[in-house]
Amino acid sequence: MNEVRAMRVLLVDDNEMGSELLAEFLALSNLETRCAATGGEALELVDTFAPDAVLLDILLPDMDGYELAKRLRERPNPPRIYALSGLARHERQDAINNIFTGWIEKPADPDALLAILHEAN
Amino acid sequence: MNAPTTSYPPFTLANCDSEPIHIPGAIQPLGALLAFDSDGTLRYASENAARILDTCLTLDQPCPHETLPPGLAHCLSSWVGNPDPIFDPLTITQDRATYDVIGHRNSDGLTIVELERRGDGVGIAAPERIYRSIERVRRQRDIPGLLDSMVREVQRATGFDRVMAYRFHPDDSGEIVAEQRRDDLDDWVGRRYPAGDIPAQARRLYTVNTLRLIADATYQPVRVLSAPSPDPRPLDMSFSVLRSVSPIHLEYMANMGVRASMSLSLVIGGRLWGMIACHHHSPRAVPYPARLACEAMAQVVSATVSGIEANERAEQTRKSAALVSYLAERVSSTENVHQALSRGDQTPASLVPNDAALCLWGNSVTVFGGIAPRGELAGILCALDQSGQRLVHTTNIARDYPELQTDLVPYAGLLACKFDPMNNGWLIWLRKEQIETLVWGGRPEKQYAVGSLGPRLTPRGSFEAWREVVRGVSTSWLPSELEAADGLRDELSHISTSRAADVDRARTALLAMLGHDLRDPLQSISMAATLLSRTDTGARMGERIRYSSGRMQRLISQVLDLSRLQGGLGLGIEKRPCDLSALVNGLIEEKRQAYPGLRIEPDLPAGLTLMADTDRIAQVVTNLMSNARQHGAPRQPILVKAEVSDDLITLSVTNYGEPIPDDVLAHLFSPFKPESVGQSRNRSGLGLGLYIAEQVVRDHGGDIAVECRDGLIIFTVTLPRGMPDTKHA
Repeated sequence: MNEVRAMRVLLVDDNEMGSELLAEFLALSNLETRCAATGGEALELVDTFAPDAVLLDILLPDMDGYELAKRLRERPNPPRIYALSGLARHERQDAINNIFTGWIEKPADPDALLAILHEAN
Repeated sequence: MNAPTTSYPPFTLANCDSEPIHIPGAIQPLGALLAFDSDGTLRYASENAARILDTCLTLDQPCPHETLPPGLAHCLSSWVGNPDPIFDPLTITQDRATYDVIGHRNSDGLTIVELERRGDGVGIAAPERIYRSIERVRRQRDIPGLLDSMVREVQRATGFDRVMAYRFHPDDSGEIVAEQRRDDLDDWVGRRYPAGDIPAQARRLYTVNTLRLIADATYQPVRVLSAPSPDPRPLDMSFSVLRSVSPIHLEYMANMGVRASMSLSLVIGGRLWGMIACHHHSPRAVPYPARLACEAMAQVVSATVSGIEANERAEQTRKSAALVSYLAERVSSTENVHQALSRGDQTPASLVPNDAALCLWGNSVTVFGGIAPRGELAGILCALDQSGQRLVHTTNIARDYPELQTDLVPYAGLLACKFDPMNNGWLIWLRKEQIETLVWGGRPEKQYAVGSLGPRLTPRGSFEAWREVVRGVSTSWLPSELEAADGLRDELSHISTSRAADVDRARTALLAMLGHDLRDPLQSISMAATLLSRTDTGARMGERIRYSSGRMQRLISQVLDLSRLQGGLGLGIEKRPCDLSALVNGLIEEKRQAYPGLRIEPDLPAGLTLMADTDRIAQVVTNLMSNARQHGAPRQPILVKAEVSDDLITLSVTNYGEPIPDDVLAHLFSPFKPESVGQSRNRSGLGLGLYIAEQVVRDHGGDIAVECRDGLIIFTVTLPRGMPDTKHA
């Protein structure tokens, strides 16, 4: 890991305004962000952007978040993958254990979210 | 010493239904009667028997055969003690008169032998001709034709002055439905008689003994004598051909000036279905063989009626079943049960004949046919509900539901069922009292004689009595009608039960989804608020907070609308004059500001006005434009067009795009769409927009429809202008 490089976070959510706000917030904490509105866009971006973490919504227009998470995991040096979803986490415990690094429920407290992203570093 | 078999107190109109007419202890003086027990002992004999047989008879003794006419002696020995109770008739000649000898076994095991003196038979057809007439009658294919043909043939065969066909209604009251008569006699078709005109015991007798002749109503009865044994049981003469009849009946005949009568019963399934009654104004004897032929005709007619009725019932059942499944299908395929039942080509009103029918569901009521009952429906339903019956029915509301009598004016009969307890769904069929439509028909009544029992014993008296009996009473609800209503109730209640379960499941899913989708805008609000507190771009952030709050506001109000509609409360439309052109132009301007690249092409005449709830109409137009923006092909314009013709305004919102798939189209206006749960979300709301839009339009008395053609998706809203002055535009 390159210590001087800012942490890179890929935000995947078709609620683009939500993504944009979150990106702006993370940028204030010196994180580098990119936004993707679909699973397809996310898979295109992931090679060039090489994120450390991905925050993804479960309900996406072209594929669901589980599918996207699996495909991201299959890559070399997979990023940490967090679900950021309105779905309650207790319904998805098995999915968290197997696919996601963590499950963050919307609405998440912005600082707590930041803490989660930094925690693993 | 001989004694009359019995003696009775006089019977009057008040107690005639207890007169034991099957044991009159007397015969008509047309011949003689003998009754033997199984060992040949003579137990009963009519007073005139010894004279007619020209011999000496001793009761409680066997008859020495040599004292009887040879033919009679011969068959007597084969009849008495024979286990087969059906005896071949024969004729004998006594004192230059011909007698038909008719034997039968009565309920006490006595062999009854009757000798009936044969009249001259002038004007009476030969039996073989009557049997041929049966062929003519049985060719008829419907009941009125059958009865018409029968009275014609019976009149031809017997020469009676008047031959009538009665039909007995489900309440056993009688109606003359066909008649053949001498030209100078009144027309009696349509006359009604109360059930009591044939007392119960007489009805039973007519059912088992299907032919009765009174050759001369002024006869002097001949007593039937029995031996003075310790316990003389009266002789059961139910099947006797000479049985003397009730003096009350004879007085009725005398009052009408009728001297002779013959009746043939039409019995179906053990019930007296109808009767052929023959009247003559002078004495008339119909020989036994001719009577047998008429009786055969009656049996053929009964069997034919039974077949026709079975076919009619089957046809009726088929029609009812088709209507029930048509209605069930309509109800299954829509959310609004009331509209499904009341707005189709066919409605529950056609299931059962009625003067008015009501369909209630939620807060909606439709009255089919007649006028609504006078009282408050809520109170009526409450009372009906308390009866606890699946199917509430009465032909006499005043008697059975006196508390509802004034509420249900002008109706007398009611058939009701509750098919949807959750939404207060009821179907009610109503009938007026039957005399409202019936008057004493025919020419002014001829003056009939009135006997000692008074004017009740005349046709006019019977009609008045019938009127009295049916006052406040509707026609009967037939078993087939009750069955049809119950069938519909059963289908509809199944649907509403399973719908209730569906709604429950969908509501749970909806609330779960709502809980989920609300988190998204909340996330944005929370994030924007955080940013706002740390940056100086406050204005932009404020805009975003407002946008997200607005979205939450819309989601919440949609859910509130939904719960109002599902709870049957309605949207609370308040109509006021509304300038539709200004409204739509304003909404288009708002959309353009919110989406600067969006092309909207309006085609609106200025000054379109209507009576409407402006906020609700704005909701509909906004929803249609949002759908067009989200689902329309990119960079293609949205067309918004309005026009007025007569009293209708047509507003359409069109976008370019692929046709809507059929499975989506099927649920487009439903609140709960299978595809909206657990799949790609709808960013703009909960998919309730079109459902609510449709309700708004319907509540304005209008209609909303969608059409896909030529690469266009066109939503069209039709609204009645409802302006007092349509020239205003």
